[in-house]
Amino acid sequence: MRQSRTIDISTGLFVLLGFAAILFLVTQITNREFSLRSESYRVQAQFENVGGLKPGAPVSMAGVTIGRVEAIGYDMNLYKAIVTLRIDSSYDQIPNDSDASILTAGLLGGQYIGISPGGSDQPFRDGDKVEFVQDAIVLENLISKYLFSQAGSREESAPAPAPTE
Amino acid sequence: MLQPAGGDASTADSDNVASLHGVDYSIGGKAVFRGLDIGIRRGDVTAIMGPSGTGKTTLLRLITGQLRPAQGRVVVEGRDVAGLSRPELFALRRRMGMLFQNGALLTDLDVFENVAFPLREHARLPERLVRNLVLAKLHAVGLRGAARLMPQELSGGMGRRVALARAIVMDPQILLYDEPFAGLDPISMGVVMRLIRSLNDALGISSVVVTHDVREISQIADVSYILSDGRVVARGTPAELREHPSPVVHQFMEGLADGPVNFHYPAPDYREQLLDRSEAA
Amino acid sequence: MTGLPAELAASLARFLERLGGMTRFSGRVLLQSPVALLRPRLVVEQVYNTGALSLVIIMTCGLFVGMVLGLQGHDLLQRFGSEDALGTGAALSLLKELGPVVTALLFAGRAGTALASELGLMRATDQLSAMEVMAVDPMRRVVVPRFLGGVIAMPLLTAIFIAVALYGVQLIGVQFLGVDQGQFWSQMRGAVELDDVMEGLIKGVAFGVACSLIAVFEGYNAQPTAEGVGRATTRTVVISAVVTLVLDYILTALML
Repeated sequence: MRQSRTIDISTGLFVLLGFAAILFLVTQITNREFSLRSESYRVQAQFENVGGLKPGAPVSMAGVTIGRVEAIGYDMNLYKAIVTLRIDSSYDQIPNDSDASILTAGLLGGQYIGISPGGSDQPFRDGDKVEFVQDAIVLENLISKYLFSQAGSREESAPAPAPTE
Repeated sequence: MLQPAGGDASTADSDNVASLHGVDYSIGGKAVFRGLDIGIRRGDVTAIMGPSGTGKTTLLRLITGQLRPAQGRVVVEGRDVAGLSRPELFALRRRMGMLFQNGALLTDLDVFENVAFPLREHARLPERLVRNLVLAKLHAVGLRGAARLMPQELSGGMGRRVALARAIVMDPQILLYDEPFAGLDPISMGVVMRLIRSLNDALGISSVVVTHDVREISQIADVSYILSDGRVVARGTPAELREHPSPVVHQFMEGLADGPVNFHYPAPDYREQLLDRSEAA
Repeated sequence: MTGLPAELAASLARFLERLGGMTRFSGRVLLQSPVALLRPRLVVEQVYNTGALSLVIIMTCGLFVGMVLGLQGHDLLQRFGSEDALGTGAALSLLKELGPVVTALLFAGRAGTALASELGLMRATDQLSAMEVMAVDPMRRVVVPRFLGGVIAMPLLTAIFIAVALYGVQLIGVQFLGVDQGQFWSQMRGAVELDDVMEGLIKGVAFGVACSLIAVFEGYNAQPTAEGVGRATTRTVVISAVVTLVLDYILTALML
């Protein structure tokens, strides 16, 4: 029976090591900036085009992640995409006239929602709607806009304005 | 008095603790048993003998229910083995003990734990009782002092004795021995022989010994069967068998090199083969 | 020269027979698993047998895989000026593919062969038969605990492999090749999701089930001779490798 004590201890150590490794992987190398377990509130935004935005994408202000895209739906009556944002409760002073834009992280990165603060002294509350939105940039529209403006400005021989982000 | 060749299980089933009636069994298309009739009388040491390859181990597996006959019945303790459900079969096996040819001790347990194995698996006994039972059985086979050795450290004879202790630890009604003398030195053989007989009588059980070793088994068996070619060719006491008229039995009992069981494996004529070869060169 | 089609047909028949046998066997093992957990002692011993005893090889190989990944990854990314992405690239490839697959192959080689040869030897020395005669179900006593031990050990080994490998990547990339430590970790954290970790662990469990099943099946059904046991261990490694890689593709396709 002495032998089995060694086995038990070794096995226990092994299992402990295994779980420690799992814990390490889960906490140390993943995105831990926003945990869904904390208190949060919901806000809705309507877009003409959400582009490549996906549920789970970050919602950020000034580059800091303050929430996540919870769900993306479509309203048949309004012909718009309804995006539900979950914002961490610790950010409860966001002016309710701030605008939400769909931005792209880096050149090839995923899309996310960026919030630029407005001037209102009333903050967003759970269930509020975002009034001001900016849709996702669709590459094709961008190109055709550029070509169109190029064609238009050939007469003026002024340099075509660079496409804005 | 001599029984006619072909044997018979006319000994009433009430006398028999186990019996086979008209059993057919084949392995891979080859018939091992054809219409086998054997009766194991209660309280006897019954020997099953025969030339190599007559399927004697298969016979034991038929009795334990590990194999089912293609035809015929195997009856143990009055019940047809083939008709038993799994739990009933397991219950039956708890009343049997089997000694395997090479002991078949569990290599990751020591001697004590090996003998205790059936107890631990089937009964919830206080540790003290388990200890006493195991030591008693080990004492019966003379190996109480070896309780803490590992199976790898035992000699062939010792290993077999431990396996025997394990086989009797649940106080079975029937003990089955598969070639208990194979590969043992004369002393160990004598020990095992004596144990088989004394355990049979002291515990009031029935023993079935499958073996080749005519000399050894003849000293302790009450009844012996000789099988050949899938059926019983003789049945009787060792003394009766020595006087048996059948040439097969005679060859077997006397250990003759040639007889009904040929020395030469079937082959074409020797002369022809030699000549063929020299010509084909 | 016997007809090739006839031989192929015979091979196919043998393959199907084996496949069928394996499926039925697996069914029995899975059905008996919950019951076997009632004897935790046996399972713990097998977790030790398959897991704890494999630690050294897993950690060693993990370290070197990580170091190689660091070297190669850095060299590759340097061509695009993106060395800072080393952490991300290494973490994602380890989590999703390298970790589970390499661990599974190592597991099959070390633990799988141990299981197969143990069971094969028990078969060859009549120990399994002896258990049957003693009215002990060898499946419950010997086979299922080994299967469960492997299933529990594999995901843990996978996690340990990945963690050690990341350390190796970090060792080479940051300490030796000068990748910025802050960038290494922060880029990784930015790109790796919990889903990626789950993907790796799910694969670990799946490969654990597959390799353990294959090992106990081969051992239990080995021919009761010395060559039979040897063949069983060889088959375990080969079949485990193939099944792991096929399963890897299927799981990757499902989870992406």
